[in-house]
Amino acid sequence: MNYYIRRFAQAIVTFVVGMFITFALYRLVPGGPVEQIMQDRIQRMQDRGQQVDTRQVAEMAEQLTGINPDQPIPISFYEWLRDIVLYQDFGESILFQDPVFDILFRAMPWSIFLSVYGLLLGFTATIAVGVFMAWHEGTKIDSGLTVFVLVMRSIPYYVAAIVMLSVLAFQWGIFPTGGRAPPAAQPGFNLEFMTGIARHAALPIASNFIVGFAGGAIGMRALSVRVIGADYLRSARLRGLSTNRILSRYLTRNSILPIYTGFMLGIAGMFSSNVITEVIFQYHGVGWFLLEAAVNQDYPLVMAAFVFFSGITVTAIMVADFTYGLIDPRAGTGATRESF
Amino acid sequence: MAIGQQNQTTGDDETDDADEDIVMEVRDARVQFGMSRGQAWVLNDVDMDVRREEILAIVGESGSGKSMFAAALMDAVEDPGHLSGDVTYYPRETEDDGTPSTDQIGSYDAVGDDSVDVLDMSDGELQSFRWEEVSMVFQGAMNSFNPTMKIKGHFHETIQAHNAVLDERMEHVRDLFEALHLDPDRVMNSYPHELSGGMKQRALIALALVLEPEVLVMDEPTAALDLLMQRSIISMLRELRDEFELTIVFITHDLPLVAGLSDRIGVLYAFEFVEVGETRSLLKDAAHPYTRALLRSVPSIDSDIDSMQPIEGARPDPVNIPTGCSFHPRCPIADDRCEIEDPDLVSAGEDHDAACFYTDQARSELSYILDHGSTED
Ligand code: SF4
Repeated sequence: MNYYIRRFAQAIVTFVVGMFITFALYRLVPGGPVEQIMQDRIQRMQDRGQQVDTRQVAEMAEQLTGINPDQPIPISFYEWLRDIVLYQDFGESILFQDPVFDILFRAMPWSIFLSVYGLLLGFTATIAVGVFMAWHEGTKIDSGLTVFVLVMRSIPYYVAAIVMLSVLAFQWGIFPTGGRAPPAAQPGFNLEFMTGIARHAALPIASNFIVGFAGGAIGMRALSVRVIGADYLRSARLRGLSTNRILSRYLTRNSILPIYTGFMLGIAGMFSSNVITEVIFQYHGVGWFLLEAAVNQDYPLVMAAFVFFSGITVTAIMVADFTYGLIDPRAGTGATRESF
Repeated sequence: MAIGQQNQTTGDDETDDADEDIVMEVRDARVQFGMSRGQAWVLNDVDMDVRREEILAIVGESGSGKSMFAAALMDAVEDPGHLSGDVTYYPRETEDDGTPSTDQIGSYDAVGDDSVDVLDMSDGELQSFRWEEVSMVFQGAMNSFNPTMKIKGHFHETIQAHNAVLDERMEHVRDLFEALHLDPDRVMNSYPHELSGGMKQRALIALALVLEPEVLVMDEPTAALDLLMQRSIISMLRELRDEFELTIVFITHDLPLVAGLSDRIGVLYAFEFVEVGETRSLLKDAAHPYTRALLRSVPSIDSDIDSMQPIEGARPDPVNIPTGCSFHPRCPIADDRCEIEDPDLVSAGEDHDAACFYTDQARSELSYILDHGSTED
């Protein structure tokens, strides 16, 4: 069987098993979604001095969550999964009264926008700074940048995000304090809307940039220093190749190999830290909805967000696997691979 | 060809005319390293003439300064090493005036009479000089190719970096591959890891010759190869020299390996040449006790790579080179004079010099048996 197909099947299995565990755990924890919602409602009805009909409340909770407590978990899981696969039906959000799929589908581009830009900028900076430090190994530039990177690394991104928010947005008013786009602007390809999006995204992306950049540069430097010492680099220099070519085709290309997989896995990490970033900046992406849903016991929405996050993780790992052979020609000879 | 007196080379005479056509002249070459224990000398005022179209073997133990000598020829001593002295390159005289010879691809300033002071070049000049006039095959051929680039890419980028005509050069590469018994299509489209050590080594030789340099410096080019491949590369080198009018400087620790290859041999000990001579004369009648010890430690020409057994005594320490003759702590016939005075290279036969006070004694007292066949071409 083709390596790719097998690997793909493996990813699907991982994905489904992961979802099942989440699904089952969510059901099994004491005070699962149905019970929580029931308690919530009963509390509210009692506050209002209404008669409490437990059975009626239970029915309502079951309908809201789409959970039938009498059904065994595997069967519920099967039905839930079947609805997702066949009808893209993740149920209806209790909180927003909208199909979950629509909510997440609309929120997804925004989250991807933040994460991808943060990642690209963060990784580019990681590589550039690491290679640059290695190229100037032992100089003042090198030690200066090392200090800078270590400081960057020791600042948690959420702290940086809050500081940026309070100084740049609230005090100086350079950037908006939250949201995804200016409320007044007409959505579409007009200047006002586009610049509005960019300005709203600037701080969240900056915070994601810190996530992507932190620490990696030091490791990148170490890898680059090793490559600089390699015979092929010396040979390249004596052959008269330009510094640009040596830096790009020789140094960078060969030093990213060991951290390439790490970068791909960083994508998954980026999406999860994006949850906090989105909450801090009130940026209505998938992460923000996930937290809202979790706080408000919006069970269908939480589950769907989990699906989204585990989907990203599994896909990132798979893509890392598939593409590694493209960036390192030697990978094809490894015992674990048979194609190429 | 320069015609002059029959003088042996003397250190001070810059435009020293011998009856040979010299392609590279090295004078007082010295490489120093600042080490925590003090200054280390890894090449100690070395003189050497490289004759045009000869194969010169430089033999020495590891840590004798032979790689430094190789690097010095193209001013490629790595930091923090510092190279001083003179390295002069004499381009081939063009027969028909006016049209520059085909191998003069780059443009660097020629000093006076066509000779080029290698250590005085600007970075740009040096960049052209390397590979166009003098190129090198390194120790560690296994890792001299970029692992993420096909062999073809290495040729293309080198040609482009030197602004040479791609098609014309690649045509030349085909000739080189043929001479080296390589299949161009297969090798060119492979990644380095897909080739065997011997193929990589030969591709590397072709890469060194792509711009038709005058001089090819090879630093331990066969050390990592099996004996059979070593032999076959050695025999190809002779053909290459003849076909492409090359001068080859072959650096090795393996004296018997070069016996059938080289025209002359220079033996390095403790960062100095202790004996330089025509191959047959040097092997048959070595004048320096160190060379004789080297030859004695060779059990048989057909034994394996590790045939050169260590000679008694410790290798010289670059920070503390012994006073007087640097070989005296290990020399069986050393006397008081050797501990104080440093012998110069003096004639020990026709086209044969040795740096020892007691060459006659060495020849009569220190015996070795030369395995037959080693000097037969
Ligand atoms: S000069 Fe003296 S110590 Fe040096 S090699 Fe000759 S005999 Fe030995």
